[in-house]
Order: sequence, then C-alpha cells, then structure tokens
Amino acid sequence: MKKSNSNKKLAAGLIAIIILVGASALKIGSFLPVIGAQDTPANSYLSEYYISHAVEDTASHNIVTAVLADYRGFDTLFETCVLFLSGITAVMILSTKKKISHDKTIRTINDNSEHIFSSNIMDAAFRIVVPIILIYGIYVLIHGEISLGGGFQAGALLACAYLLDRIIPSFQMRVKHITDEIALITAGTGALFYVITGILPMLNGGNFLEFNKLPFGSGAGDIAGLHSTGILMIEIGVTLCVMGIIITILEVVLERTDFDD
Amino acid sequence: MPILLLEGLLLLAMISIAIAIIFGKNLLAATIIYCGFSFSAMLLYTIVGAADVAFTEAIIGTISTVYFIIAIKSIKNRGEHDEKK
Repeated sequence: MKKSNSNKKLAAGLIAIIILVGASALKIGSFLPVIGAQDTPANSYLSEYYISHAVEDTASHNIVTAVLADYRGFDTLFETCVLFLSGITAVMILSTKKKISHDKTIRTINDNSEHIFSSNIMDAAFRIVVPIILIYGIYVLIHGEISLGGGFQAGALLACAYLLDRIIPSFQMRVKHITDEIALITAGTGALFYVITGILPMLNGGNFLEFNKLPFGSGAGDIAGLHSTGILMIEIGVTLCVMGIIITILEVVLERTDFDD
Repeated sequence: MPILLLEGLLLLAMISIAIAIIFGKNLLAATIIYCGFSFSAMLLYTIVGAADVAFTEAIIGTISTVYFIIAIKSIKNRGEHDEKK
C-alpha cells in the first residue's frame, strides 16, 4: 500500500513537471520567428551569403557539407556528442552482467542450420556485397566535400556492412568481431578527434574550428587545401563516432537476445 | 504538373503503407513494408532536391529494417523460452 502511495506521488510530480516544461516551451516558442518569415536572418541574407560565398570561403563544392562542417562546425560537434551520449545510454540500459564467451568468431553453417538468415543464397550474395559497401563507405567519406554524403552517411555505410556481416551466418566471419566495449571506445575516439581538430587552429593563433589557421599545408594562403584538410578531419571523427555507436547498439542488443545461440 | 502528380502518388503510398503497418498482423511483413515507406520518403526527398537527406534516409532505412528484424527474432526467442518453462 505504501509503495503504491509513493508511486502516485511520483506520477503526480512527473505530470506537474511535464505540464511546467510544456507550458514554458509553448511560452518560449512564441518568441521564435515564424517559419518562412521575410525578416529572419536565415531568409533575408544568410542563405544568400552561403550560396554565393561557399565555394570561395571553404573550397567545398557541396554547400551542404560547407554549411555542416565548416560554417556550422560547432553545431555538428554537439550533434556528434549527442550521438555518443545515445550510445552510452544504450549500453547503460541494455548491457547485461552475463559472461559472454567471445570465441564464437568462426561459425559454420552446420552450427546455425536453425538460424533465421541461414541460407546459401544470402551467404553468396552478401559475400560479394559486403566488401563493396565497405569501399563505398570510404569513398563517401573522402568525397564528402565534393559530392553528396559525408561523415554521417559514411559511418552508417561502414556500420551497415558490419551489421550484414554480423547477422548473416557464413563459413567464416569476413570482418573481425567487434565487441561493444571496443565499438564504444571507437565512438569516443571519433568525438575526441573532432575536438582535437577544433583545438589545433588555436595553437596557431586562430579560433576554435577556424580551418584557415590549421598548422598544415603550405601556409595561410592555401585556403582550399586547409579547408579540405579540416573538413576531412572532422568527417573522419564523425564517421568513427557514428560507426561506433551503431555497432555498439547492435552488439548490446544481440548480447541480450542470445543471437549466436 | 507531372512532378506534382508523382509527389501526390508518393504521399498517398506513404499514408497507405502507414495504415497497413498499423493494422497488419504479421510483424515481419510490417517490417518489410516499412522499408517501402522509407523508400517512398527517399524518392520524395530526391524530388524536392535534398540529395544528401535522401542518401541518409536510404542508409538509415536499411539499418532500421535490420534492427526491427533482430527485435522480432528476440521476441520469438522469448516466447519459446516461456513455453519451455
């Protein structure tokens, strides 16, 4: 009886918090500019500036990448941090204390005859597809500033190749088995790499994420080279983070569902 | 005008797929149909001109389908486990 009473109190408190937050959000929302209004910075001069100056400012032929990775690099940094946070949350909620043996990297079709994806057609198809997806992921990462794509898509592609390889049983796993700890460490390394890329220009007298002052290349006049290097570096960071988080969530879920058994 | 017609058809397809997912009984079929929802959304983004978003949608649609299938398999495992008890 006492427990249900405290539960009721908790529920009432939660409802009060939800109403409070909702009311304040509505109140704050009334101060935001109307979508599509003529006098907002985004509609009056900012997008025009981005479209007309992106190539000469950042030497990136894809305006989306120029805005995401160069003009708005600080936003992308915190998007990466939010992704990393989601991975940590998944591990905290889903990970089990159960001891799992990691010597199951070599699997045979005979062992998994009852497996949901066990078929020779799947095995033969994905034996060809997985390396191509991996190469395409690297291509998307390196060509991010010229063609469409970028860090997030490249990371998702690399993780997709691992995911297909992980869930389809074959004679031998083609990609090395990554545990969730290693995947989470990879994601953290990616986020850290992003921050270090931001700090490097500060050593040279610039601002945070100011690619003109990167200590590489042939000096301060080489805008195209410096910006390309900077965008590539932060995209490598984003790629590592996205790939690590997707693999982390996959491995944590698979550990709970006894997928290998 | 034909582009507008195509957009309307894609939106109708997305709405009907959403209704089919809600009322369908087979979970695996619903997951595969959801992949079609993702594909229609991708085509819409391409028509609008957001190629980057369409690319992301294509990859994330694939990955989320795989996650859903793993979830369905885990539900089946749980059911068998309970029956054995």
